[in-house]
Amino acid sequence: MRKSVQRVLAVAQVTFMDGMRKHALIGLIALALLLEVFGIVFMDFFGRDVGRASSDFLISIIWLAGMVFLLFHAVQTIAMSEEQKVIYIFLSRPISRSEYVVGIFVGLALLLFVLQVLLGVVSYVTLLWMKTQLETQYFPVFNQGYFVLSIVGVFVMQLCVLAAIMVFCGVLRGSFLVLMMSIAYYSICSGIPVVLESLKQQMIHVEQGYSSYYLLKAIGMLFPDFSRLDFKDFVVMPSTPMLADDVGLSFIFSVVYALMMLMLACYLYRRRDL
Amino acid sequence: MWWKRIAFLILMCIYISIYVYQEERNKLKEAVLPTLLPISLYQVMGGYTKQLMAESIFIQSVVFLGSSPLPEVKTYKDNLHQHYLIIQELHPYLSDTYYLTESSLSWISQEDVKRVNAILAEGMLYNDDFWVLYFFKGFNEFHYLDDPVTAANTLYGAANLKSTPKWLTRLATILAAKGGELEIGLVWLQAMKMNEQNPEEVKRYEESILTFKKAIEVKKALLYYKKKNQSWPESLDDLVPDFISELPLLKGDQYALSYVNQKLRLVRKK
Repeated sequence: MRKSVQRVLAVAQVTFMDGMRKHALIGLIALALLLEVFGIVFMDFFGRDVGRASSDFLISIIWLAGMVFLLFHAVQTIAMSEEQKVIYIFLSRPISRSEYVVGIFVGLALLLFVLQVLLGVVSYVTLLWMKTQLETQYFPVFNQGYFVLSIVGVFVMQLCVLAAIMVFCGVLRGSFLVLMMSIAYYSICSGIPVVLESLKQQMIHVEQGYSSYYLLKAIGMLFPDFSRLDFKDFVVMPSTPMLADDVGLSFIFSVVYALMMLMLACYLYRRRDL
Repeated sequence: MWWKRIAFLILMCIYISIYVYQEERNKLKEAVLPTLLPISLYQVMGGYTKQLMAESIFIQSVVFLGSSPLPEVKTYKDNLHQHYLIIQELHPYLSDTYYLTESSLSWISQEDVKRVNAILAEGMLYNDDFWVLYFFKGFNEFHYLDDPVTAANTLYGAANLKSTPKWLTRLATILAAKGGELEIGLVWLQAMKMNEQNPEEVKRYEESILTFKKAIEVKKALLYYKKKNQSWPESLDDLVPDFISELPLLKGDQYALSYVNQKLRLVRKK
């Protein structure tokens, strides 16, 4: 068990160092900082809720940087290692396919973590600075705990997406296909709650759509609703109606989902031809 | 190689000329507020960034309003309404939406006032300590829809919010009195007096309560007159002395009695 962990950490370290060498983080941080500077211009359009608009903008930038990292760097790293036969170098060592999959996942998750911590610190300092500069009516509350919770929410959400990308890499060949599947996966995850809500209204008013509703509910187990990890509304909210057990359950659900997807990816890698 | 430099310069001149020409043409163009796609599409496309999407649509509306003369705003009022609905659906906590909705749509027509009030009422469900929404809705009901009683009820709805200023609930009683709902106004005043700590404010409430009580006595006399004569009196003087010994003097008070269209009201003195 200990040796297995060591092997996983070795693959994770190689993946992490490879990401650093390719300047994946530096490029994304530069992009995020540029967007943040650009975003300050837009704050002029808000007459009252400047704090809320700024907080939404900064946290969304962190999410966006994470998604760009996943869709471009992570997909490239996983799929290209097969296209360019890098995977053979790994697997020629005494390492199992499952250890390889988990190692890659941990390495990429570590890169994602570093990216989000760095951007989170920049956004936190920016919001704190804005809070001191603006009058209370324009930025009444800055709930620092909820800010951290939002960033953790983004990170856990993106761990789930990363685990799904690992599954797609186990099934499909070629980085472009995996990219398309990943985008489709995220769109379905965002779309199902919207369709469910509309079917719910339909069920209440015309008493139709029961079968579609329950079918979509079942599909929703495969494509989770990530909005349950979206806490950015609470960062500038004076009263916080959220319940601790709701938050805890959302995190546990998402972590369990990511672990299950990772186990599925390990199974697929064990079964497939390279 | 000289011809390459000349070709580059020519291309550069063409590029700059077209750019300047297009910019000049854009200046003459009227501002357009496009019709948006259905809300569900924005919800799906937005995902985690749905709040940011709402804020982008908000900025689009602000830019349109800032660059359009008022007649043009009227032409695009349906599109504006759609923009506000979508912004509210995507990000109901953004308070700027409500300020913009109130200022840009409510003045156009009664139908638009009702649409604005629906947006404000929805906003109240999400923003639990935002008294401005109650003020806007109450103002619309009183000023544009000429319904002081509903306005008074709306304003009084803000009484339990932490941040509501005192004058808002006082305004509710003034509107209730103006609408002829004297008993409701009296109950509100008594409730406000009970929660008040400042002795000067308590004294003001007591004076107003006394005025309301006097007016309610006149109202009772009016109803008694109607019951006995099967018709309403021409003026309040007809009540004296058979139904009331004398009309109450509200001298020096903030209110005056008004009897118009068979309805007794307390009207605030100017």
